[in-house]
Amino acid sequence: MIWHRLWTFYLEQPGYALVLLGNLVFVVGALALAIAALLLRIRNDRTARHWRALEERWESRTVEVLTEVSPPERLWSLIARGDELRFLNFLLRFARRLTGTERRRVDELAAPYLDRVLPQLAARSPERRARAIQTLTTLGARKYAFQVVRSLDDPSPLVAMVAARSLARRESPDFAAPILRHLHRFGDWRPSFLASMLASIGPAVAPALRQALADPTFDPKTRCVAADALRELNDYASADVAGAVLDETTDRDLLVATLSLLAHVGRNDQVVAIRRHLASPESIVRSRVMSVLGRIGTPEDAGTLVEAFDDPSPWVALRAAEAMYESRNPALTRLADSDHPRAALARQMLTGGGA
Amino acid sequence: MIYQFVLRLLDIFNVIVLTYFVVLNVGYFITGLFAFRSLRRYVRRLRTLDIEDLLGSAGMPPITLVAPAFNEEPTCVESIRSLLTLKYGDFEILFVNDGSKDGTLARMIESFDLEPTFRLPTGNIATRTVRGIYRSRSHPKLWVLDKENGGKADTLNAGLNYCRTPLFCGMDADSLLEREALTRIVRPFVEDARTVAAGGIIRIVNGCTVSEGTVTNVTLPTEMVPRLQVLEYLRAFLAGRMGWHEMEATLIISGAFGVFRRDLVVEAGGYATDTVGEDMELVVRLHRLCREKKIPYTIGFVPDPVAWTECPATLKVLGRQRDRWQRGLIETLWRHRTMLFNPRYGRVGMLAYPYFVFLEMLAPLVETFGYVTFLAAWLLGRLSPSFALAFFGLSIGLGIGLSFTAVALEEVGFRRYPRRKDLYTLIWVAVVENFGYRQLTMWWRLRGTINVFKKGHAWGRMDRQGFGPRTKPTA
Repeated sequence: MIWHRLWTFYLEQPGYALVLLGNLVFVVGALALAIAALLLRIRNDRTARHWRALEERWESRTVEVLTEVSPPERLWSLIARGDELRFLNFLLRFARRLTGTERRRVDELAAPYLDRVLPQLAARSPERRARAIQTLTTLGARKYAFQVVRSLDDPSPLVAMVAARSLARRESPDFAAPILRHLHRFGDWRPSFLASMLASIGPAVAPALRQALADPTFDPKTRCVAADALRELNDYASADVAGAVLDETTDRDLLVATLSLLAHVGRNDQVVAIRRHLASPESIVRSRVMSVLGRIGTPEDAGTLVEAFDDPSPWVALRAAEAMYESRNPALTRLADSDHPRAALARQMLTGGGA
Repeated sequence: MIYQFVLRLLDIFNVIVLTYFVVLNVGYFITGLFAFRSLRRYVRRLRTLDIEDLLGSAGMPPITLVAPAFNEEPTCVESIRSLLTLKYGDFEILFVNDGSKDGTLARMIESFDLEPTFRLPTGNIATRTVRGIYRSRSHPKLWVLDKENGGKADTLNAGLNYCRTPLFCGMDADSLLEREALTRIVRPFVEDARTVAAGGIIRIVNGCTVSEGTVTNVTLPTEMVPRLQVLEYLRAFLAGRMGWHEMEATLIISGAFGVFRRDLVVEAGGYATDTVGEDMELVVRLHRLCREKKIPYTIGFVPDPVAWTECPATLKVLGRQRDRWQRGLIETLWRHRTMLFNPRYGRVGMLAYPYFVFLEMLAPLVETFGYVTFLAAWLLGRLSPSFALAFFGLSIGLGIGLSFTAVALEEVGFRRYPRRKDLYTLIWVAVVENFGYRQLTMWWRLRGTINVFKKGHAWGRMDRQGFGPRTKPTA
């Protein structure tokens, strides 16, 4: 009876009927979600148990192989068809913890299976392609370098970045040029991160970086990255290039990066060019000038540093205080004992509370 | 005649309430879909990330953790110890004591061997007087500012004034960050230089085992009130914020764990001290600043860096917290009302803002209104079973469906509750919370809506138990 009344009501009120129908769909969907969550958990637990058991067997055998108690064939005999990619993942984790001979043995253990990864480079998902690149470069040494370099042109920036980082980790100067050529692809990435990546290749990358810094046809961001990387490498040979950039550029970020480089590798004879930027309207440029003068400034600059204590920007005053501390400028003690509004900053430096 | 009019009015109200619930359903459903898509992609992407490799990179930007504290004596030492063990290259901690009335400062001085020192402020946001600056002899990364009481936003601003790094992390002094949390939350800043702010996920520590400042065993709390909040947090972060992140319209970054670009926050004027929702207000203001000044930017949510926090264990404290949240929401949305349906603010103005105004801010009013008209219709003999079915189906079904979505998203993503028993409990809680607890939450939010006119921006009072007593394994 009640069903009949309900049925009649909904026939007469299609709006309510629609709401009820939507409601039902929603409730069924919610139930399906709950069941899905449960099934997912059951499946995940089962899979995790399976892999844990398998990896425990592999692990003990791997340790035997790495310590030369067993030949590699004994481990390979445990790898069933279909488990190869999982085995490579397992070796990846091992590889990250090891160095030297043991690390090379891990590469040898992976070698027979690495070709199975190659089809993944054509996978639709960029994450899978990136993972494949990671596996190949970590475990495959130079054998797959061609594929990895080619991945710098992958349509996905993620894949290109994984490839660039993997190549940089190989610490081979051969890869510096392709990475630099593709640096524009990582325009969104933080320059200091890119610089660190390039510097990780080692001193052999410096000539290519100097060239990039000197070349005004490169975009300022790439030149900034090059300057930062040269600074990380403490590349003294780049002092002249940096000096020339200082005269030529008006780009704020490039100026800042170049001044930071000069603070590390600059020479006394370059201070004239550096002082020209003391009057820059940008406080970040003036603060960098202070840092450079603290490192390579002459006695003439002592007064400049004291004057900078009155700069409207606290950052410039901070860098000037640091510079005075580093250059053992006696004016810092006088400032600390004075009633200067920033005397506390001088005291902070002298008590080691700064920098 | 009047009776007929009232009945007619009731019918109209019923239709309005039902329509509202339909829109709400659709809104949550769409957000959930976006969240699912985003989370799946994120988890796949995580597999391509070698966190150790990132940690070893010199290119990670330096960060200052600004930890504001007011009467945090029971938890401050363990929280700071936990922060000191974070795996991150270049960071310092600014613990800012907001004139605590308990022994917070004394405990900090004693536990970390603090000595008075100097430090130049680099920002000039107006705050209450900083009475003293200390630095730890045993942990040079740790600085402590002691200031006059001025509220959480004022305390964060004081920390911001002394911050020297390009990024700062706003957090609660009683939160426990996971060791790799900073590395993970900084990734968006590294991968996209336009990033101005990113929020991490907040999870509830009640019920978990904490050892030396680290959560070592994740289990659901045994008490019902914290349990209900675990589910709420999953829903808010995994279904809500993940979805908004995918739509590039993140409007909230939790005050308990978010990283910001210092220069932009200073340019925006720091945290607003005249609202209780300073965290949301800052994010909305950053959106405005970047849009109005045409600064390319992104603000996002990262689901894997975790800050563990203690949630209220009693209904009384929880009620106060929800009251504050609602007031913060209303104050923020009212202050920036110019953004509503304003195409100048892109998706934030056209999508997220209307959503928060109509479906979040007004929800307690409409739902309460729905219950009242429902009751009135029943008393007047006007309640049809069909309407009752539709009303309860929509209001209860919505709650259950949304919570199940959050539980499913947790399974797809992170599975932080490894015991299967906890999963069953979460599913059960998703059902029972709709009968009583949800209505109570509505009441607290309604109270917050009324209280919005009573100004007052002191710290929310929270009865802390500390991490110690709850560290016994529950299993």
